Amino acid sequence: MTAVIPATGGVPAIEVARPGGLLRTLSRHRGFRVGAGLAVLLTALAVIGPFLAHGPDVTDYVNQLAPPGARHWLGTDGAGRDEFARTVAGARTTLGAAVLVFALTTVIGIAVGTAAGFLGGIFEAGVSRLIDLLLGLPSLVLALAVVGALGPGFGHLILAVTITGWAGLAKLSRSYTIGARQRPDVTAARMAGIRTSRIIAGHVLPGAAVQALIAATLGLGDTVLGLAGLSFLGLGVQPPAAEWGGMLNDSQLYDTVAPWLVIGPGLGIIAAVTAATLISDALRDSTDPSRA
Amino acid sequence: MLRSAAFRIGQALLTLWVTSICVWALLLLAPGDPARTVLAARGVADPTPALIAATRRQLGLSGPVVPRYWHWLERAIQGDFGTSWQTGQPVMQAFATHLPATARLTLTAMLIAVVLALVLGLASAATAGTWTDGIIRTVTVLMVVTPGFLIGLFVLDILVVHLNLGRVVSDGTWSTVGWPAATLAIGAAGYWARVLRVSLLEAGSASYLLVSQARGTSARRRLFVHVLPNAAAPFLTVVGLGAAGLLGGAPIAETVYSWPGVGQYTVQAIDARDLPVVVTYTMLAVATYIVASLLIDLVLVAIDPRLRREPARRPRPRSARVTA
Repeated sequence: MTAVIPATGGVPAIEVARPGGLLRTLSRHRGFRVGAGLAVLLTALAVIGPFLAHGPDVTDYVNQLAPPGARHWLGTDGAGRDEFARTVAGARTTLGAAVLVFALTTVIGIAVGTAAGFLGGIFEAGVSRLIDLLLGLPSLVLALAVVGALGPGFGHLILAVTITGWAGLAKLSRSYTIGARQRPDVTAARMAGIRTSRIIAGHVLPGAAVQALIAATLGLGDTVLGLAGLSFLGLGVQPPAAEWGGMLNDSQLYDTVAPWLVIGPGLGIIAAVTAATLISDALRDSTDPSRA
Repeated sequence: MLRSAAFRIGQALLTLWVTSICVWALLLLAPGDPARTVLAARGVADPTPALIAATRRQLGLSGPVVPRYWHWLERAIQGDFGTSWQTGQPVMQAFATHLPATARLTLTAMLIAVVLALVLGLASAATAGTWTDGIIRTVTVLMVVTPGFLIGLFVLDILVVHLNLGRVVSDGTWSTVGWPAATLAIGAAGYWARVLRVSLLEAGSASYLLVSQARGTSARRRLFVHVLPNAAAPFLTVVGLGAAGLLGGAPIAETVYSWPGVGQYTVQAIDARDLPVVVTYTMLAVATYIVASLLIDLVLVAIDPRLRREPARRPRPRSARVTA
């Protein structure tokens, strides 16, 4: 019961020696500051959304396709719904979906990668082949194929983007685990008779998780773009729910009379992807030793 | 060299085959009875059970899964991807009419993207650290973060409809390909320019260049003999894969502009749950992608002698299992 070497807490990953140090480096990075600021702004917008005057689905039939003004800041759409309220509601949907995909791909990637790295044998060989297969194919095409087969829908869209997104993270976790198995602290823990599950939890997972989280952040911008793009094609959230890609799709109906319908969701997507890109650039600069 | 080329070709064929199994399996997810859908499309409103059974056999929808797959593969290799459930016509017939438009779109987009990326990437690396570089970097980030459909909407809404700066005709010919191709190209160009800048700066910071300079070589010689060839590999890789990836972006660009290509056709087929069309599009896009990455591999091996050794076997971990 009492382990000779305390396995909890584990040994910090070599690559990122101190998470606090990484945060300090990041906070000095100009791109990171801008990106983080944008991300905070978008999150705040998504959080305060429900407390705004107009609801995203409230129709104002007297004011259909109204231009931006004091009453409706970004105008109204074809059903008289307040475009600003829908943009804010869309932030919840789009960013929520991106965060969900982020969480799913990271968890699946770490779990499968660590398991493959530790178990070895046929499982590891099979998983590695599957990973290489997925990484060698265009992800947008695969996501389109999965949604195409399952049918349009928000759940199917998230499933499709997750299926195509976990492989890179699993590959990273797998090679990290294989490397970690040779580390002295893991050998010592094994000799001390600590259970495999505790070794994985205490010595391997923390480092693998940090690496996978960084790598997943690098892909966040592409995730938002992919989700919005497929939703724009009408394959994601179904009406009347507000989602940026879907709102842009709707705006096409009124492009001659109400071009302002593009502003809200368009700026939203650009801001979200810019935030993700700037943060991931900063992360890459701060964690890649060759660029220090 | 020859052996490693043969190895890579074999690997690509294997990938293609495994992918074909996964993609074909999508057909099994079909909702309802496709035979009924096809018969309805052919104008048979109230089919008899015998007719439905006959149609199922004809569409390859009955019988055990494995022979059905082999039958499909055999015909797919000969260019026959089955029958569209929506129209009851061969899928390849529809693709043959839509493919030229997509080919024009993606080829033009690729040309625009390569030229833009070279200009922006080279200019940015040459002026690294100055305000010119700063502006170019900001522009390339904006190009990457702005989705193609947004650019397309901007072009259509603002430039064409409200400012009357020209007309967008989407008839799928060379003369009208400009706007859709530029829209499709911008994201790729921004990404490629960023990669080119980083790899040029990395190749240019190698310490042997300092030695070379000390020995009195000209700046031009260092650029053309050392920096450019070393920076070429990452750039070629992203360009090659990105060019094949343009086919994946085609559905969005084609939908914005109503460009009559396979992408738009496939998106419409998804709405109608016409799975043979989806499968055909996926197989074509995937095959293009695999062929492109194979070609890049071979080109990289040709320009970089370090890659010419036998493909290394993956190192096996010493113990297969950690025992507690």
